[in-house]
Amino acid sequence: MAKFTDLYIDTVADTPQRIAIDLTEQDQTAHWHIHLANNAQAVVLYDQTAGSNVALDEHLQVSLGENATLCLLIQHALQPCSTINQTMSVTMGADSHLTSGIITQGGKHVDYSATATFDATGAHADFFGVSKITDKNSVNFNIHANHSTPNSSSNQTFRSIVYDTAISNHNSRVTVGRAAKGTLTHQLSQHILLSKRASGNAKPELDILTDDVQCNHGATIGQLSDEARFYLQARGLSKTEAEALLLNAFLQDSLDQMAPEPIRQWLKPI
Amino acid sequence: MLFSVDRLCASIDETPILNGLSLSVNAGEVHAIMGPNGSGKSTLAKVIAGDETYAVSSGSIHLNGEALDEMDPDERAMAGLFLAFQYPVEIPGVNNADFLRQAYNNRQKHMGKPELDPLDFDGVLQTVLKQLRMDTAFADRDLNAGFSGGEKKRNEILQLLLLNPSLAILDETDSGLDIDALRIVSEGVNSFKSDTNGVVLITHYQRLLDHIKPDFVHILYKGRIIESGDAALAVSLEKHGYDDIVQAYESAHANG
Repeated sequence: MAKFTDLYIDTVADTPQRIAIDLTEQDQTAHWHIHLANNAQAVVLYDQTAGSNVALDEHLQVSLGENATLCLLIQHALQPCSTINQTMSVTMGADSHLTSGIITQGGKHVDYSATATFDATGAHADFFGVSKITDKNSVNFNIHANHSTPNSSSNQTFRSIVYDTAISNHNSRVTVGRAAKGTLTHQLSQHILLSKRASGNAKPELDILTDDVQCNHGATIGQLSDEARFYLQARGLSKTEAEALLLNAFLQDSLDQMAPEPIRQWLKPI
Repeated sequence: MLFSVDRLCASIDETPILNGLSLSVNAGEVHAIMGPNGSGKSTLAKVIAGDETYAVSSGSIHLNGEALDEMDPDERAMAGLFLAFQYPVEIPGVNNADFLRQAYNNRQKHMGKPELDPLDFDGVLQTVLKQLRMDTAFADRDLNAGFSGGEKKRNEILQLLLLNPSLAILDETDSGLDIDALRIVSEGVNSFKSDTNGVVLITHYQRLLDHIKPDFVHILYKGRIIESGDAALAVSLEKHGYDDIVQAYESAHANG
């Protein structure tokens, strides 16, 4: 069953909008259009909870008018055997600002793809992704920032904690067109692997067709720091407490940056 | 006897670092451990605290009559051991006050005392912050993240005063401190000292011992204590260095 929903915002919204959806139908397709008019501002939390064996195919289309500001957070809390295939396409208006966050835990397979098109100057987007993946499950973050006009910027920051035989893929792409001088981009992919058979794959791609740009990327894949764990244990925290604190710290920086204070209270513990 | 190390041998990657080291500390005593670079001072501190990076092949460690040898680092901390790190670890994302309260409450719980809620703990924390002349905003920062060398060392002493252990080992706590900070940190350690606890100071310099008076000074070389004395030994070292003592030791060993 397919559902179509339009969200049109043309004001400076005082309070965050929370869209809470409990996915119960076994197979469904959803289409969302979120449009911010010029100078509009909004915070939207899209809170998805899914039962077992749910398969969701979802498409979000987001457009930001001139000088519009949107914070869009998608939060998954999925039961085993659920799968989500989520695509988002974003059109950035001149001087617009997007903070996009995806937080995912549970579920058999999550595939999240976002493409942002920067065809107006002065636009900036921050993409954050946080995942905790267990058992044999897998999560793909696929982000493409396509800069085609001068002086726009984007950041991509993805952090995943991978357990058991789970798999995490961070596919992070930046395209800078011939006219896009003055583009600034940053890509960061970080994995913590908590078992010998867990997999974390970082694949940053840069396709730059002009000069006078600053584009950098970094990736880390590792385990919890023995040194940090020893420090915490030497203060009387058990090994379990120390590890929980360090894992939380690994994700906390991204969560703090993506979620403004009014919405942080709605985030589920990860 | 408050604390004892008996014929301790430890290595890292098959390289022996501690070679039969023994040390005894009674309640109320301050012991200083000095020695050339690479003699095993920091290794000793970490091995006592239970750092699994090092392999302990023989020997034993006791605190308050309890064997620490088979304990994890947190169990040693609960037993009353505290190590002030030479290089405190930066942990972004962990709030200093939250971490301190968790550590404090774990110790309280272990001792059968009531745990404190955030508000009550803040009262305790602010008192110690004031004592160490630390900014109250310190508590809200991430654990050691972006701290200057001096701030990290003060944070270690803050933890020492909050956790109130039986034995404190301070690993080069004076390094990276300016003159004023050294005095404040030393005052903190002196306020911790009592007839029921002990302090082991690992240091390179006499200047720390001007502020915290040691009852005994030991010289560590090649993983064992080769000379012990009173505070005058540290003064002598400051003037003459280790050469004479080390040469005497080497000669004695060369002659069997």
